[in-house]
Amino acid sequence: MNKSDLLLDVIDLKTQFFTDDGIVRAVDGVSFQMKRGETLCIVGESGCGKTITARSILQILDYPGRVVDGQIFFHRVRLVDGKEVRQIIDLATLKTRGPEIRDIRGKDIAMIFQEPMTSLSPIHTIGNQIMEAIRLHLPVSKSEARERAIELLRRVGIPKPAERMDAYTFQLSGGMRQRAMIAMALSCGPSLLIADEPTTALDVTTQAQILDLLRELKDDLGMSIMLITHDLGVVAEMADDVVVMYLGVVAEQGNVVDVFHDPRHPYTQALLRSIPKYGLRTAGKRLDSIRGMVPDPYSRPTGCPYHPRCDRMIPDKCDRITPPTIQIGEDRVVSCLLYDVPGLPTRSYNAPQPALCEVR
Amino acid sequence: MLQFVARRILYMIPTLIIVSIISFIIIQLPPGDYLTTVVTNLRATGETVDEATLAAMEQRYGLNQPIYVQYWKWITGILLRGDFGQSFEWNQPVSALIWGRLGLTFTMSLATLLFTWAVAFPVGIFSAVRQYSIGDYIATFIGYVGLAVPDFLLALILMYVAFKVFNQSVGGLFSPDYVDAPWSWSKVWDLLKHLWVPVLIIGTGGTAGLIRVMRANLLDELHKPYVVTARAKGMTEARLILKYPVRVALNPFVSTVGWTLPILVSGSAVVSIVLALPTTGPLLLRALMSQDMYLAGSFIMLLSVLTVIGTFISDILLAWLDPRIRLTQ
Ligand SMILES: Nc1ncnc2c1ncn2[C@@H]1O[C@H](COP(=O)(O)OP(=O)(O)O)[C@@H](O)[C@H]1O
Ligand SMILES: [Mg+2]
Repeated sequence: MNKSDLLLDVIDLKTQFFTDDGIVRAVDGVSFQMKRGETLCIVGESGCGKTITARSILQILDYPGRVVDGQIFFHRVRLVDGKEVRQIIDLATLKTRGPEIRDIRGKDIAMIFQEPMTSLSPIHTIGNQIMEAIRLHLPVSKSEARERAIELLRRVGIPKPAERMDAYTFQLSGGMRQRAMIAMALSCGPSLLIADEPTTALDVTTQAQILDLLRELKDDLGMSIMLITHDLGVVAEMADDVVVMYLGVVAEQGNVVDVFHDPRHPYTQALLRSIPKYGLRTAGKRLDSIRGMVPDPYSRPTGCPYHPRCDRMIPDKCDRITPPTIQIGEDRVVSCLLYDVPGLPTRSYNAPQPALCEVR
Repeated sequence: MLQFVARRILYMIPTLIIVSIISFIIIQLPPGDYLTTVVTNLRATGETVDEATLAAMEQRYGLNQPIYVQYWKWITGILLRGDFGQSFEWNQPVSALIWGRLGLTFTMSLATLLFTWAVAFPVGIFSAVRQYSIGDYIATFIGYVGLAVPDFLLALILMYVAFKVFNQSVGGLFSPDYVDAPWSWSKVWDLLKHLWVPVLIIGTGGTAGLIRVMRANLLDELHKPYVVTARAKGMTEARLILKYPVRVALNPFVSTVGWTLPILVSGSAVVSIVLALPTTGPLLLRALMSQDMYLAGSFIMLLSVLTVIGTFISDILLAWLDPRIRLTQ
């Protein structure tokens, strides 16, 4: 990977919640890289630490959560007086309420959320909230901010944007709310947009529209998107790269085509088996769901966190040894003891495959 | 918004009519009519009863007429002439007795309300934002003590301390020189010097309660997704908390204005008696005990009207604060 293409470099991130009942290791040593201009999907079942990973990047964790270890290098490029200024900032070291991280939030890295209804204030107009986001970071007057906000609303496909400025969330449909939310996130031209399950709360048609909008905006504005989802269909449609998370660790990362064609981690394989396959007849064959459930956060399994549910568990090994991260190709890693055997032939990860998502 | 206000005012009218009917019934409750009471009373003091006076009174209150005519005479008297009837105990028109006291009571209540809010807001916000901090524990502790200690005890303690330590007498609302003096700036100043004692005493319970309400409301709001959104925009913590969750947490707060008003007026009776304050509470109590029904009934009606008006004000405030109420009717 070309060094200047790097946008985000997360190294061994650990985020924990210090609750009365014990420590929740929500993110437990996550590493991944994100390239400038790409869409990275983070996928995994509910409770696997996707949201907490995203929030750790912006340092907006709820009490009693804290980033306890690791680095989050953000490669920032800003135009200052027409000149490009490059800077590498370790977000993990910034004070959560300090001016440095606040300067980055909303300006370089913006975020949208799952529930647009509750993620916007119920008692302020969307115009008020968007203008506020603009004026927090840009030196513009109120009327300039208003014009910009109207332009943003138009850009995200809200009809009659000038009128919608004075609307409250409860007066908009779910899709329109999420569009308003996206407009707000785009207001200062971020280089990274983090979208945490942005379509989960929407109906299927609206979901497709919002995903189309995101893809279009990404290309037009040259930003990168970190898209968090539990839906592999969304991943297939949107992702350049994909990070598969399980219980606070990265199971597997790689190019989406590679991961879908040749999933290495048993968890990825199980996830792919559990979705209906495009273009394949599923009649008569029932979909496999993954055996068991995500364990509760206080009783993390020892060794590989996935081993109690894994079909290919190696007794006396997977339950004891924490799997290392194994580089199995350029930009391709897997964290599984199956691939930690010296002499095991490494399969070419780019081998041509007959059909997308073929069942293995 | 205007439409909303107009509708609310319309809703108020039937409520007020019912309130006045109930007050009238209360006035009529004691056995015998008003005249019998007056006559017995006058006889008891050994005065002769003038037939002409009796006839005039009978005419004025319509006593020989059906009850609804009596009500009509009574209520139109109040509305058109401000005539609330006669207090036989004081042998004065009720209106002459209550307005001055009502004014002072209102001043005191307003001061108490402002004090309560001025303290409860910041402390409640602090307690919620710094939940389980030492400050929160201290505020909670003082709050519970404030709730638990009865007002009259606090009044006695404060009077004792003021007298012993500051050598100041704290009874009443005025110094002896000013009690009967006409209103002037120095009399206002004298009032302010006395006012803080009852305000403090009456206000503590309410303040403690409101701190709990504010804290609980805000704790509900602080972890809502819209707060996270505001944080993700890069707002400072203080600004975002005041703009978003505090604004939302204000709603239940505002809806309590309605019933704070009459509680402040009537609930302070005990304290007023202990501190010898020239407010409505002691007068109402006395009127009830001596069955001075026109006086008592008038008080009860005014208090009820205050409740209705308070509810009206809080409804308007609520609608003004919360677009969901204003726009989705
Ligand atoms: N405020 C909190 N207090 C304690 N534990 C939390 C809190 N927020 C999240 N967690 C824990 O962190 C883990 C990861 O959660 P999350 O990142 O929200 O999962 P998801 O992948 O569904 O987004 C979960 O086990 C959850 O219980
Ligand atoms: Mg989540």
